[in-house]
Amino acid sequence: MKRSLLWLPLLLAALVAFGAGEASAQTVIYAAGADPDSLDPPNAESNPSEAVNRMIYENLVKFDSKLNLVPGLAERWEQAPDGLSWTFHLRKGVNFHDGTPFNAEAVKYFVERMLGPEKPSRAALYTPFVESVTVVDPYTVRMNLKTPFAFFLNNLAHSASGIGSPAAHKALGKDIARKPVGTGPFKFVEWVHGDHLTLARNEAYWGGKPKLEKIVVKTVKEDAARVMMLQSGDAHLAVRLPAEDILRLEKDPRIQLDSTETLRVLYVGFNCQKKPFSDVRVRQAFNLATDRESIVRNLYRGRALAASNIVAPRTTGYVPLPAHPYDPEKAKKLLAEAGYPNGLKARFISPMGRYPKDYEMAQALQQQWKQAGIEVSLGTMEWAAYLAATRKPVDQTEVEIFLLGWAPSSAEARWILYPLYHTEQWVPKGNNRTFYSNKEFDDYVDKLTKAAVQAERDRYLKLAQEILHREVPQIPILVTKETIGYTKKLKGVINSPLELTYFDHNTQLEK
Amino acid sequence: MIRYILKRLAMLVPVLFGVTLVSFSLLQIVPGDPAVLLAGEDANPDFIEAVRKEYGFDQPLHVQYLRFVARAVQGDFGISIRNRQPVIHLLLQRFSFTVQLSFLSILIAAAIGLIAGVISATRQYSIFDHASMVGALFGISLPIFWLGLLLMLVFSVHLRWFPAGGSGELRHLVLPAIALGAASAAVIARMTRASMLEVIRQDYIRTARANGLRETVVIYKHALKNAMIPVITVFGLEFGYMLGGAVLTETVFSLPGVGRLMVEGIFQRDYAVVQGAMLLVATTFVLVNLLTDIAYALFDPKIRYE
Amino acid sequence: MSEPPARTSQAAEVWRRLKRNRAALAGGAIVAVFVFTALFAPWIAPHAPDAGDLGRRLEPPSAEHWLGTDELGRDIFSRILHGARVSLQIQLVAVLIALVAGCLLGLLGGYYGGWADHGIMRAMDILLAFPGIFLAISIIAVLGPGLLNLMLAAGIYSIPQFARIVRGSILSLKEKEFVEAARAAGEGDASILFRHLLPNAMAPIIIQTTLRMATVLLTASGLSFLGLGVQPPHPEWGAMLSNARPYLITAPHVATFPGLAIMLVVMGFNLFGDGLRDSLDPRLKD
Repeated sequence: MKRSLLWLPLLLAALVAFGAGEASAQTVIYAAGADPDSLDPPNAESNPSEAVNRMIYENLVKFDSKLNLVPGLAERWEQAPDGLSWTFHLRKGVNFHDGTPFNAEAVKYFVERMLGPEKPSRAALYTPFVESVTVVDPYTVRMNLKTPFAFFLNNLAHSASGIGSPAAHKALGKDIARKPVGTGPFKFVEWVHGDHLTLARNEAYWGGKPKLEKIVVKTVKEDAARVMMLQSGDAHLAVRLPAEDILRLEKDPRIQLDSTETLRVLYVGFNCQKKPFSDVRVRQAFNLATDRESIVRNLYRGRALAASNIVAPRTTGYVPLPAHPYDPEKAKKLLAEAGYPNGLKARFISPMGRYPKDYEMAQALQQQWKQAGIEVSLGTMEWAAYLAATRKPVDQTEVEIFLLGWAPSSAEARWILYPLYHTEQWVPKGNNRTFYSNKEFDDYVDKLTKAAVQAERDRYLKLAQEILHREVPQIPILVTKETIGYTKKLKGVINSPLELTYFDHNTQLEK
Repeated sequence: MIRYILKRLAMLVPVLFGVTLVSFSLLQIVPGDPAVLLAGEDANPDFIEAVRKEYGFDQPLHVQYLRFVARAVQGDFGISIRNRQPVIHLLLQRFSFTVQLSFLSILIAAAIGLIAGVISATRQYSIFDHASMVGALFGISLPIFWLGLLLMLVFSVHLRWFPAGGSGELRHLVLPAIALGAASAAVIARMTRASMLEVIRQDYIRTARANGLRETVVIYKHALKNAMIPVITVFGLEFGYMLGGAVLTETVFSLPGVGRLMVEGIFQRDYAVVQGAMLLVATTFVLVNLLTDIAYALFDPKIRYE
Repeated sequence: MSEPPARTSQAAEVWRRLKRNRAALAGGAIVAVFVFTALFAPWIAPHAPDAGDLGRRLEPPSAEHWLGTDELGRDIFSRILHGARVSLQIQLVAVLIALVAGCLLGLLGGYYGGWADHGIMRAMDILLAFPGIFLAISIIAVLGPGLLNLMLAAGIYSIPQFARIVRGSILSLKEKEFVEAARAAGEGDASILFRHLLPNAMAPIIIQTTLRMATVLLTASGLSFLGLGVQPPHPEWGAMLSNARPYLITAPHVATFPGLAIMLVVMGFNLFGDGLRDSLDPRLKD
């Protein structure tokens, strides 16, 4: 009888013994917030995938940490004076992980895949603009455009333009999504879906042998668990840290925090074809009733930036515009003018857990708007249902006010203005979920797209952004910051404003 | 006995058929289009069309269903729309993990539950009895994800005994197994105590004692064996639920089990994954029930299955 | 037992035994406080449950906010009091759904046997073999998250348990003499089912109902954890606990109080249910 009681401590002791252990010093453990999906850049649609792809694949043109365009697999390039063709001079002596050479044929194969019948999800980066590709010589390639396009290089630097091995794609087809072959500093080892993905260094990397030997990207969905893993040393790096824990982690001498202002703006959109939101005064009333400073200061603890423009400051083509004031009294006045002296009621939907503190922000907005006599009922849906609800065509939609975030993954303003507000882009065809339509605005966007001269491009960018600032088909609330934490032994981590955290061949783990 | 087992196995067919039909219909009613979801916020209509075609979502529903059944019968569950992995591969990977976690959990639950239950019963109304029954009450009253987070906070962050997340080694499984097993341990303890109390009062135990057998022998050899039947039922049920995937525990501890596979599959409208996982979980559930019934016969020779 | 037992005397006996069971009394007391809170929350709560001050988020307990403030600066104490309403509502409706549907199915299956029984029990097998969480998620995904749909999901989830228990009792009861007697007296099936069989199968049903009240609360909190729970401004405990996860280390009180509330109430129903089982089970007479 007594003996049986001894089992318990013994069992516990045995379990604790299993608990001890330390990961190999050469391996970096990266705690990601979600599973990657596709490891095929033209078909990758999520940040976790793009971050991994940035380590496996490389582009002709790269973004540096400030989003300037710098040489990648292309050493240099030139644009024809008419803006209709671009010639790229490729780096020599680069091989894919499968040993096949990277050259002009590989680039041609890649672009033609984008244009061809396979229709990868990111094909729209190429199909509207690129006419054809010509191999000039083994290390020179020319892309011929249909029209001049002001942001063509940005599209080449987009994560989706990571160039994969043609041989591998010919052999695997779409299944290259789970057996990626690129030229990057790290090559694919294994992927235990839902658990981890392992990369090993590419010993033959053209830029020199990468310093990290192995990278294990673990999927850790629970925010609190990522923080704890970072603190307990079970992970060397954790992304998407919640604002509250940041204050505490700052005091931890072993942990380095890095907070990067992203290109993502969280905004509240209105159905501009529906009463009363078709009235700009009503939309302005919501705008005036929104206390962005309070949300940023209190809810986000300063880890965000109040937004006055749907284009975030670090985006190419951003135009500074005056801040939107907080004035609930004026909001009431505008509502009265618009015919709602006693306030109004509306439905407001928000996703939950898609963006940092999205649902909490929605609740805070609900509280703030109440001060101006606007009563919104707040609802949420899981993401799939949310996307479906906000993608219904204008004659079927039930959406009145919604919360969403948008970040241009090519880091330029056109990727915001055109898909979100151009009349051609109403859902379900495009991504204009506000059903905003303004001929003048459409015209500016069309012109800036085809502008061959930068000054002209910038003039139309400014005009278009000013219209949105005046007419507020959506009210931008804030620009998010992506905070990552990592052990101070880790040097050379890249935390891009594109919400991508990754390593390159210079990243190292000190003993 | 063999005929009985075969008959029970044959019952699997209609149950599984029902499960596929219900889950297929539910997935169709649920709003959200897998192709649109895959395309994300900046969707491209051409891509959406191409995906629908590739996965056959453009076909009439009955064609889709029949095609699924025809393939599933041959062991082909299709591929995940999310990551292009063959579903069968995902299922095996996740299930082997779930089995590991479930075994460790049920082991911990059984060890703690049986010991606590037996001691409580033999020393009814003692401090130990009260303490373990109060403990059992906590075990079944705590929301499991909260318990998981608390365990993590104490044992990973403060004491640093166990890792906070991840998988691959046994040490990763300890905290999740405790979190998952806590409620089962509680249920098993309560059931063991109740069942033991009943058995101990029976005549043959008195006889055994009167015959001068040692108390340990009486309790463990005679009483426990006879008290096991209701305990085994609970055991089977709990184990069945664990094998069905523990989505809350798996989420808190970032473990790649069947539960998360299924729930994330639903959230991502990954039809093939959900269908495959449902079949797997239903089969497991039915088989564990069968095993439980067979175990009855082992513990009680009076039970015969015709 | 050839006559249906006299119910009044039985009830008195149960009550007498229940009174002597201290654990059951404690459970009953917790449940009583819980129900009282749920009924009178608007009059007891010091603050409105949805009024928040963003400038005063995550404050620890103080004289003004007894249990502190939550992630939006709302009074946690008031939210817990109001949350009792939501929780009780969920429990009652969900258990009622399961109770009515489960009892009907169990009665029909158990009484008529044969084809009906076979069909119903196979349907229950499918429902049982179906992971409950999938069922709940699907229901909520179809109907959208919300209080009503959560109740529906948690209710349907519990139907098979009731059906099985009722069927089991009916199977043994229907062979008893009082059923024969009623039939001989010319009573119809409906009368026999609802006037004779159901009342005699009440004990396990009552126990199951009480214990299910506990389970439903945990199911609801699990669904909230997965983001499918009740929507604000309804202060549901599971959602409160779940939403407090990011502040587990920095402001532990935000998670602790709703967690304790869930635990206490679940415990209350469990204790009370166990007590009822002991009192209703004639074999445990002492």
